[in-house]
Amino acid sequence: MSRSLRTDPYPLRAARRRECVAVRSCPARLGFVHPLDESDIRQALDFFGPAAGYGVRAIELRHTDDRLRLATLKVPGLIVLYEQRRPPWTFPGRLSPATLDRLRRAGAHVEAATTVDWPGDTLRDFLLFDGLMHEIGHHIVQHATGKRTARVMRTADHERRADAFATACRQAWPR
Amino acid sequence: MTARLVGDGVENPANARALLDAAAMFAIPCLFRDSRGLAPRWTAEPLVTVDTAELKRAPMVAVDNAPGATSVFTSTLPAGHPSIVVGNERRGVRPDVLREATACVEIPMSGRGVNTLNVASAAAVAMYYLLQPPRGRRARARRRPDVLLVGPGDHVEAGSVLRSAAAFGWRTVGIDDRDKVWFGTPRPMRTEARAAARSHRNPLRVVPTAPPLGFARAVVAGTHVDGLPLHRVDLTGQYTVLVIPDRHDENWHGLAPRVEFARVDLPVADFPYRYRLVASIVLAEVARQLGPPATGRPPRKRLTYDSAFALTDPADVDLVLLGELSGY
Repeated sequence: MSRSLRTDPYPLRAARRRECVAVRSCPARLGFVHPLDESDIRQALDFFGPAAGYGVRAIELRHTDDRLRLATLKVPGLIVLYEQRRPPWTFPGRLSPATLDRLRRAGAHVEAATTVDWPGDTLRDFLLFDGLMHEIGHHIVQHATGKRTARVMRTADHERRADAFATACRQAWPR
Repeated sequence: MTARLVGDGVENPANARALLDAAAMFAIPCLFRDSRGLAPRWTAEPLVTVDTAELKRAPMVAVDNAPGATSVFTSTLPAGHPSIVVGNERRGVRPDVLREATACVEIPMSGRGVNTLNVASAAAVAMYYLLQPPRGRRARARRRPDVLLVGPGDHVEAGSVLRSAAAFGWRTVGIDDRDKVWFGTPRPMRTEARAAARSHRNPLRVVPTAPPLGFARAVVAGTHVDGLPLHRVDLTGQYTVLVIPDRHDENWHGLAPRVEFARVDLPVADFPYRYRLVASIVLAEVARQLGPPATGRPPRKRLTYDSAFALTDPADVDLVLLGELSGY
């Protein structure tokens, strides 16, 4: 059987695709910061292997709008990481219990359910796992089915899978 | 130019009567080519008929949404003594007339479910644009106004107007049902009204409405209002309601902060009034001012997944940093 780029074994193809992941960065505005830079993203993709970056077209570090967002996956294959305010953060309202739990698990200091501080590298890790790897988890769910632009499962299930992937990545990450 | 209206194969005597009224609105004669048994059902004055040879002797303009038909909004009548031919209620103009016709015009409609008008309404709209082509501009703001039908006096006329509204692309129409012809009517009346509206495939939502309405601008249109001609009034726009009264004279100035009037210009002052004909002309004029609907499907929303923070309280305040505040 003849060999070609298309018939290469999966690890070879995935490695080739991972090299194509473009990381584009827009510098953060005054008062904001990109907790992850390009080298952090490349390092994470290298560590988690070809499967993590397979099919990802680009990762962009962008300005944020008024919405309280960490990251977005734009199907198929574009992951956007938003700039974040410099800690400590003060939210314009009380955070939901699920969000508070998520922040505390990531190592944040939460006061009065509206003020959040990030000691050390916890903010970078939070963006890495709850932002980047969470969206890669969504991407893997989409990409694995082959239906790249269709909604392949209920949103709640999608979120659960992405959370599980992010948690597994956090546990595998060397301290 | 003297034209005439010809009903080609009209079956329903009520539609034939409405065609006679439509022709009388524009002061032209109305004839029938009776090929589908109208005469036996006709009980009023003798029916003026025309045979095929005589019909084809003069130039004909067929009103039918056949392939290749041009828009009635941009068409003109041929020279001579043309016949404006409308066809059977279900089957349209007969093929022999379509083949021989000088021009075939259609009334552009963007409705879903219902894409045809009542034959008399179609004839009235066609005559309005062919006999006295308006010189109005297209709307600048292509926003479809809301429509309020005020006090329709006849259930079939009201149903027919609702059919026209759906055909011209409205999804919702308000009705001030002060004469109780649409809501809460006896079953036979209700059946006739819904049949006239083609309610089995008409997706229009009919909402009982009464002033005050809360719009910034109201345009009252009809034959009995005093104002600029219909085509010179901008009938479209956001926060605009188009009020089509059924011969009700009342003080319209309380409808909205800004009230304008649009008169349906007709060549004769005294004519047999029919609500469906006047309202269909008004709705067609709005469709003309709006222009053709945008072609193609709207872009689909891209599938995205967000990782975000959820707040339990509504965020009615904005976060301002000390640095931003001092900079300000």
